[in-house]
Amino acid sequence: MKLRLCSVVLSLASLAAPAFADIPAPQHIPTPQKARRTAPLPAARMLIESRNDVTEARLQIPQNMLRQLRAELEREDPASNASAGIDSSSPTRTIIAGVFLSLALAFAGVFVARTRSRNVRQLAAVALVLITAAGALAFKTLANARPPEPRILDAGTLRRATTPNEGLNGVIRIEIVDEPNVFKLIVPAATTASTTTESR
Amino acid sequence: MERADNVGRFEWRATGAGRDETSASVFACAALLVFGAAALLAAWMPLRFSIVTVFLFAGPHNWFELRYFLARLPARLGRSRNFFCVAFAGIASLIAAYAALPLLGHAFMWTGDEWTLALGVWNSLFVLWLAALVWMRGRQTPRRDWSWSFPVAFALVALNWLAPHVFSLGLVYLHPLVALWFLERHLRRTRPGWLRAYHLCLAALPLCIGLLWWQLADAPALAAAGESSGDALALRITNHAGANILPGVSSHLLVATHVFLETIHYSVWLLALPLAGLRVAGGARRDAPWRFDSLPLVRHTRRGWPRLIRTALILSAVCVVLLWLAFLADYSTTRDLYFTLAMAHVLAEAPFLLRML
Repeated sequence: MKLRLCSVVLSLASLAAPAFADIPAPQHIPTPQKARRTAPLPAARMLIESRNDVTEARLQIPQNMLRQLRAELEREDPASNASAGIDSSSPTRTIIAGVFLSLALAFAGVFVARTRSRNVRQLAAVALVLITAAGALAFKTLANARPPEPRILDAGTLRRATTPNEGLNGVIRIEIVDEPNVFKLIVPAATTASTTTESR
Repeated sequence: MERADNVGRFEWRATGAGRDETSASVFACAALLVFGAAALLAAWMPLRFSIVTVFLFAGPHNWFELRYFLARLPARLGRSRNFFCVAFAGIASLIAAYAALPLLGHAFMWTGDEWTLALGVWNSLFVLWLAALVWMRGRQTPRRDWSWSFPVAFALVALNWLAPHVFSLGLVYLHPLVALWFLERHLRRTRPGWLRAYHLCLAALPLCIGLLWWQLADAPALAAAGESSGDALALRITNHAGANILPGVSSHLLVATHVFLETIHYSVWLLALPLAGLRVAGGARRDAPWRFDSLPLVRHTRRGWPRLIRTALILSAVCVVLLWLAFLADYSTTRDLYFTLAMAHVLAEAPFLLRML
């Protein structure tokens, strides 16, 4: 009798998690800061160079970084996921899986009730405790730990490239280079630029 | 006199046991050698090793399996009649459905979702058939209650519906291991002295797989690695190993693992099981693979079908030669066709393994 009572209590406790799972998640209005936390932007080294031998400003993008960015974009694009093997589960399949899971639980219950084997009953009790524990731990899913803060990158001497409250602008050529990892902004040296302007 | 007789018997037993221990050591060394060589070749040149292995051993291992199953099929079915009826009906229906899937898919231009649905239905039917067989086998012995097979089967079917492609891939990787289970049951009956050595060899298997994974976890994709020119055949082999289902895993690792397990599977059917049977039959060597007299369906002239079975086995041997010729003519198409029809032997293993439990 005690065993049955314990079983009923444990079963009810294990059912509590799915019951809570129906509660809609609280609506959060994502602030820009929060959005940045959840999806940290890719990082790379940047170099601003002043050169005499160029007449136009150029932004050099390393090939490997471009490939990485393209991969990131493809991952975010749901259309490109169509070819993936593990596709998102359709409602039909989820329903069928649910029906069979229910059947599995029902048949397991009948089997345990019918069996005379003491070992099977003990095994069923252990399984019930484990399922209850898993159900109880499922509450943790509602209290996900916040992902770690992204590391603050050191801007280095790039700060000197601009003056406070004053933006710099101009037209640049974009080129893809083999040199890995470093984005490079090549700016014509002041003398070269002024000479070119004067000659025009 | 009686004591002297006993001493003589004891000495004979001791010699027999010593010989058994020696042969068990030889068996274990040979098995570990096969494991090591297979792992090394699979890691080094997975695509070429896969092509050569399938070409050489795919056909013959099917013939050996057929012969082994015929040796385990009783001339009089008796209480197992229903069990075998369900088994053979299931094998025929499931293989027909499996072969029809690509034809139907191409005829009706199935989309990805429809393919997934069809695969899910096939997997479900397979699991339920298996559960029915387990339950029926359990009912043949009064002290067994194997009705747990249904809850387990339903849970597996539920899992299957979450990702049918992954479930099928699981079958691809699990099937080679079934041969090891056959060997375990066979040795338990015929060579109990070898079991300890065999279990030690089995313990080395995860070690080999672990080493493979450790070495190849970050290996570049096979087509990019330059082992093959990335042709259609390489694509088929990598897809068979699940590269299209698990895009995040190195295709080198997947093909190497698959070909390693396949090689173990072929070794068990072509070497271990025939050799173990050969030695047990004694000096007469009645159980040699090329002799059919020991098969119950051949031996019993009244209840069996000696001529039919002999003809079937000879025709199957001819089919093995034809398969080699077909591989030489068009490897890719023959490989596709073979792996579709080879599902029959995968299915046939289930009832015969259950009969040995």
